[in-house]
Amino acid sequence: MNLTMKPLIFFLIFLIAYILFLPNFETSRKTIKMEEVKGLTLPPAIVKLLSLEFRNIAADLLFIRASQFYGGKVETIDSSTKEDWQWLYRNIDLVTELDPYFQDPYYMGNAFLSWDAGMVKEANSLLKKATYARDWDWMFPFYLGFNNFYFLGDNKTGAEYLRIASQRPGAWDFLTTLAARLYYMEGKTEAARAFMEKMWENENDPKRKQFYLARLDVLNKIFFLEKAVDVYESRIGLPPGELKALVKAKIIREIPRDPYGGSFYIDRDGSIKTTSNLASKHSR
Amino acid sequence: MAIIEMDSLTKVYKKEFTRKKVCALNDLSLKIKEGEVFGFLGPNGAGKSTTIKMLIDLIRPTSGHLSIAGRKVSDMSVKRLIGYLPENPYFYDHLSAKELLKFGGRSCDMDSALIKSRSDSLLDQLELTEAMKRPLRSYSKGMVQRAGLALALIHDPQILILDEPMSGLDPMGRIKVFNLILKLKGEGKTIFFSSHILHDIERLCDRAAMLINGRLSRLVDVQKELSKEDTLEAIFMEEVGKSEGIRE
Amino acid sequence: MRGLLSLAYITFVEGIRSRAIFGIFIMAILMFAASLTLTNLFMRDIVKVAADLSLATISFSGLLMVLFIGNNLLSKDIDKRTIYMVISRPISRAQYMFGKFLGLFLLIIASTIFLGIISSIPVYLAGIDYENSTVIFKWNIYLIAIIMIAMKLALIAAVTIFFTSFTSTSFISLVLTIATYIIGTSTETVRGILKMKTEGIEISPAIEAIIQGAYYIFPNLSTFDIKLQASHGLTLPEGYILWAITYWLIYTGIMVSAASIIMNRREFP
Repeated sequence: MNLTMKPLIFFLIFLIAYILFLPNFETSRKTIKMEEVKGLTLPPAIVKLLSLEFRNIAADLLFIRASQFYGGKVETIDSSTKEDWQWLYRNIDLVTELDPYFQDPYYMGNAFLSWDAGMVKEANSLLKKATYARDWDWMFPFYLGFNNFYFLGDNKTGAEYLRIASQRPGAWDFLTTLAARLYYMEGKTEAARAFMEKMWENENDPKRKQFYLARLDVLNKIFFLEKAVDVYESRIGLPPGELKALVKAKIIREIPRDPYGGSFYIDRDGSIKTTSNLASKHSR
Repeated sequence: MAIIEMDSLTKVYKKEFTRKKVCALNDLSLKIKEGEVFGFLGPNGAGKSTTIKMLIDLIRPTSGHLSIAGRKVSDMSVKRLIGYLPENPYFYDHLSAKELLKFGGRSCDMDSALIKSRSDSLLDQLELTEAMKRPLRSYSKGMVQRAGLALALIHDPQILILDEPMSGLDPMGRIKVFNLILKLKGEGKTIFFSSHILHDIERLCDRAAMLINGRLSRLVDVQKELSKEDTLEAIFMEEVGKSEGIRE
Repeated sequence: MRGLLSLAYITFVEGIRSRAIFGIFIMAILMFAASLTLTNLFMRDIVKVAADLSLATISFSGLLMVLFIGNNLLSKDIDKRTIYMVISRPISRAQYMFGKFLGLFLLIIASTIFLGIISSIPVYLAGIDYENSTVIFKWNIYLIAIIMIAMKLALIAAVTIFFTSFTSTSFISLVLTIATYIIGTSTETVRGILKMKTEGIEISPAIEAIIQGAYYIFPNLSTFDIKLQASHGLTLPEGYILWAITYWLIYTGIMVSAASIIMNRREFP
């Protein structure tokens, strides 16, 4: 055989072997990755040490990793387990430990943890960190106020955070009046609607925007039904036992549809709720 | 008058790991007169380069003294007097010969016009004009050697210390360098150089020292002695033979 | 003095013409290009992410330059005996060391300016598309951050100079410099972790003393890391820059003069 041919033949053998086994390498890598994804987060101190002076980049990359959760799991949010949410929380906590001024993880963490995971306490701890670090930014005390008011029913604390938000530069004027209204427990749905509308306005991410819009829609419908109940009460003198009574009394033409697929009903305390339970998934 | 004086120079190296002492130069005393061409010869490892490096202050003697023009070799004013060509010189890869000479001139406080005129004439004499703008990395061994010689001469030094100036040169290059040294000799420069090529020493030098195993084995007045006696080669062989006899 | 300057000049030229520097520049430009696509993954802090990537790229490629080209420029002088031609000139050893440092310093300044200009393009582009009242970005702090990176690189160059003054091969000085860099960037973090005093974890006084010692001996490179502040447009505390410059001057001065002392005693057989 020609001597110059020999290396060529070896090269081709290795090349063919490489192409043949490429899928096997990939699947083999996948098996190891599966194990890895299960909730491994390093303690912030270790990541700080390992990332040397590139802490910001570490924060950015870890955030991208955390937001893959969002990209991949948002459609199957119901299937996410408590561990998944914990993992997300730990990751975002880590990212904001590396870069406490980074806005995006706070937004994402708050949106998922408060609305979807029902981990309002964790969401609030992130928001508190943001409020403290980004001491010029009024958005985070605003969210913190909303969470306290809407999820925890703690209007006092909620109003306090709104007051903090209203004192920061660029804050919306209505925050002061909203805070005042919260103190008197007036018009919960209306206040929530006002909150949601502003959060929708402020959102850039189209997916999130859609999310807020849907909730705003439900709140609008609840608001509409509450008003109808008021009319019923003033006419009949008694609260309606069920929503159908409103249609029978010809106050409304039909009961609006919950975009989440549930149906509206009147709770024992007289408030309007929906079976899809948009605001309190965790209680299911 | 002696311009270079070495007084019982001794250099002892310690090996890096074993710390074993090696005597590279043992009690060398030499006086080189102004305007003299002095040859330095001996087998490999005899201590020629060690001596030359001590003159340049690259290494320091373990004991003994040396001075150039009555001053210490570490004196900056002495360095202005000296032109030095290292053995197998190596320069910066990406510089051109022109830039190299500019650096040499600048470091000796020469003004730009003088640097230009001197480097042009030196590059011309050493036939490097064509290559002067190319990076030194692309030079052949002989060209690097010639560029090194040009660098040694750029500031028109009174004393030239050349370590194996002929090595790596082709026959034409050797003739060029030979003629240049001859010309410098005519200008009254003091030239101290080491070489393996006995024939060159024979033709160029006033005197020559033979160094064997770190010791001065013989000082030859080339012009006087050689005409009476035989060739330098014969003397050299004789001295080497003697030293081997001693060792045995 | 002219000898020193012309040595600085040829060191600079030698560095800027070496092929490795083109590789580093190309890598840096690719990273900046990547930053343009990567920022799309973020919602609000786009300018911040662009600035993060740009500053990290400047720092990282500068680091590669100092570690490999800088170290090579110094060690090769001794390895290949180029130093013979310098020392045989009327240039003292101290001048040699300082000239070498100055050459590297010029190289660092030139490449930081180059990378700084290129790096500001993705940051600028990220800023155009996106307007948000809660996003603060200030070019002046970004510029200070770049200057601080250059200072940090120059300090590492001084450390390299110190190590090359007594090591015989470039590899050893490279390893020592990398070790110094790693320790220098983490001493402050380690100290911070120690201060937190986690429950149930006992740290022996000996280890604490070692860490304290390392903090004083090795350069505190975190001083020059204001990338976080630059990315978020945060103002620096008053006097911070002045103290950083003072620290830099003193530490660099110690390194270069110590290198000169060692070099003075050194022989080049």
